[in-house]
Amino acid sequence: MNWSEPLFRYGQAVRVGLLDHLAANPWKVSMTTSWPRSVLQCLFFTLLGGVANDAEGITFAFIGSAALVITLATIVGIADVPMTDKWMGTVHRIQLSRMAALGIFVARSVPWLLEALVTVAVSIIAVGLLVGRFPLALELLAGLPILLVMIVSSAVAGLAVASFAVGRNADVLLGNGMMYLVIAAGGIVIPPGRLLWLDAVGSVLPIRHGLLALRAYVDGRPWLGELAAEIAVGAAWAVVAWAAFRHQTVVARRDGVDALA
Amino acid sequence: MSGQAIVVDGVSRTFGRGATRVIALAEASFSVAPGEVVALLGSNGAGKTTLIKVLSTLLLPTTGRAELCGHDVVGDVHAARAVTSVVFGGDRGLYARLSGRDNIRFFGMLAGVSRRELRGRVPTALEQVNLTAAADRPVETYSKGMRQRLHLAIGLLSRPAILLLDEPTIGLDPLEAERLRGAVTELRDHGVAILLTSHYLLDVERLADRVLLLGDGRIRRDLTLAEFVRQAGHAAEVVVRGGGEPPALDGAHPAWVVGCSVTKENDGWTVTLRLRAWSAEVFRELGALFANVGVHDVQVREERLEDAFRRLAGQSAR
Amino acid sequence: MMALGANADIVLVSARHQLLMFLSAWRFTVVLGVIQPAVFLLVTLGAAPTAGSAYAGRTSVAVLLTAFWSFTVWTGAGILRRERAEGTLAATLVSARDPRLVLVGKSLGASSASGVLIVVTITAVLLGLRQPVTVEHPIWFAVGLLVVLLSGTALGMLLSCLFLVTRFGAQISSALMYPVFLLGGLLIPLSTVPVPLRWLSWLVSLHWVNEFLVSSTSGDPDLAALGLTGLLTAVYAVAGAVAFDRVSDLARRRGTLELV
Repeated sequence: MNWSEPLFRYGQAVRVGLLDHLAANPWKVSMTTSWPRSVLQCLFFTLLGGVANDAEGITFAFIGSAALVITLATIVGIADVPMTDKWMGTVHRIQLSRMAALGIFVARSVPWLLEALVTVAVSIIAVGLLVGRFPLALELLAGLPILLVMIVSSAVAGLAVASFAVGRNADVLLGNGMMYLVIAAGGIVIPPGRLLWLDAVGSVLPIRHGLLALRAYVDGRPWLGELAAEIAVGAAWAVVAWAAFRHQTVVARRDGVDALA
Repeated sequence: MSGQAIVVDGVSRTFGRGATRVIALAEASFSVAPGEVVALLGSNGAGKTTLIKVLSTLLLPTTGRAELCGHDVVGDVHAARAVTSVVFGGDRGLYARLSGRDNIRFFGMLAGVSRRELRGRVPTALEQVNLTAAADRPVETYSKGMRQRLHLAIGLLSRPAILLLDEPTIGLDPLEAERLRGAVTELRDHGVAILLTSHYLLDVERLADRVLLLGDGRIRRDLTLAEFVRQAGHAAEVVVRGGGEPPALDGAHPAWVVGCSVTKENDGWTVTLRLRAWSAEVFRELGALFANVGVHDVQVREERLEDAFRRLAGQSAR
Repeated sequence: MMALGANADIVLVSARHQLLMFLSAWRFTVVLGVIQPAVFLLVTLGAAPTAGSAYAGRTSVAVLLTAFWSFTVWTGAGILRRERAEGTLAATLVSARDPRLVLVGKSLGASSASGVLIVVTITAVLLGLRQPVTVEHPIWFAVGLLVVLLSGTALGMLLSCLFLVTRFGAQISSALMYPVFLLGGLLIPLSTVPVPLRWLSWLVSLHWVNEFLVSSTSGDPDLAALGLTGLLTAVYAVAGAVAFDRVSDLARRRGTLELV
């Protein structure tokens, strides 16, 4: 099979995603707004964890807050990818393309994954220093493979959420809604197990199992099981995203109502 | 209908159900040959864009069949898309933050143009539409005309056998519009089958070989351009003013006179003639009619397509 | 007197208009006015499940002000930016009415609507959790809430003008939220902020109104804090007026700000 053409196509889509992302978010702007925001958000939730629970709470919340930073790019920000086609009126070109819509959106999402990686690393180092937990920060950075899995799983969940949001102009509502759900149910600031129903919701959200894996890794406990669970959750959301975009394409041709346009 | 680039056979398209059901297209049937330009005319809501969307495979037909170079738009979607380009035009449909070159490259790739082909075709397409100098500027800095030309360049990149143009000159100044028509004419000369919709009858006049008139989703007329004008009623109106006695025009008129009226005024007369055709022969015969009277002024108004359209559209609506 | 009445009219009509805009953008409103305060309250009360009503009271006030600041930064501050995006800014700037009054009215509308929604959300969550909260001085508390409203209005005006002159308003809004969350002494006590940075909280009106509102729930109302809130609000309002003149200057004299 000739792989060079498909590689070229996806490469082009990644390239366009990067160019558009940089045009909308130039380096200078990202470094002076998005990155500080990530650091400050991480710091805020870390300190919040310490308000009721002192030193132990800060440590717990620091790990959780670092993971939460990922969602700014992968759940909230990534909705911009399909929304850009809606704003620019280019949906019909996506519908007529030789590539599947989800494939195009995934390729164009690469900058958001990179942004998640950069912001989580910067936040871990900066907040680790600010709250006197720099050795822990280094351990978290050593857990990069776990963070990468969380970045990918939350990104596909973010695209799945965006697929429902685009047609209803609900990207802000659903993207932020999911992020706040992760805060409430993902074991970010308070340990899971306080509310059973919230736990159940959290178990199917991205970040939750990855975070448990990361905590186990830092504590020196077995972590592969939770990592596998995070991968499984990500795979399930990927199926949801694929089905949702495919369904919308079919409905658009059949009913003339394009949820993506 | 073999050898036709576009074949549409009984295509209908409805939206909604029950009380909210709308018939956007009803039993449309026609064909377009390679190297032919067919214009779709009709008032807003007549079904023009719906037809373009069905042929471009963005919409499924509810009933009927359409083929593009022999490929069914429903059953053989990818092959149909491979031979067609659709240009919707307008201010949107481009990534405004990216350059024209980046847009054309990306959309060309989406349309199936290979990497090797893109390398050669992108500069050529930009040159064809006179956008080479602006190619590396963000599209958001482009004028309306430049965006429209970029849309066309994207449409041409895959070297389609069939080009679907939806209001290609909308929002363009007369010079830009003329440039765009020039590009379309060149494509026709290269054998591309072109189906275009337009509200500007100048587009039709300058480009079209045939005219399909749509009304309420149905094709009401399928005419050559000349037939279109003739069917509307008359080709020209001649107004002659003079003094003294008016010419004797009572009784039988020549065959090329469709209608005639004579008005007497205090100091003269006015004769208004509507002519079926306007040619050198008609001009000579007209001169003979007025040979023995005192003519002060002659005005000739050729029938505009707007008038033809208005008349035909009005007839179609009844 | 008549001029006062006419001016009040402009402000009220503009406020009402902004309320309608607020309702039409309900998705955004739900995130900032319902989801955010509800989650913050659940997390902070969940972190200390055995803490009493005094803690709940302090936390509820802090969540109120935190969410109110988010709202101000995202909606109030975006008023003029959205007007420009819709193509209606020109009509405001060159209208027969004083455009500053129109902006005051719209900012007031945004602040009022957000304030009411957040209070309702917090009340609903507290009721749902069966968490009692006592307010010893309800009238002073109400005065405090009114001052919050005015402060939000002034801040909204100031930020609205500043955000108009950059195309990265969304990114700046996003970045402005957390500095106040951290330095305002709201959910995070000031004692956790490094000493060299604590003076920054003096410049944040929400810090002082937080002190006042918390003191109104138990103990004696801190009137000095209320006074400082009022003073800072006045400073924001003056800065907002100056910023607005700058916007008009850019638009009409220099022609560097496109209104349509």
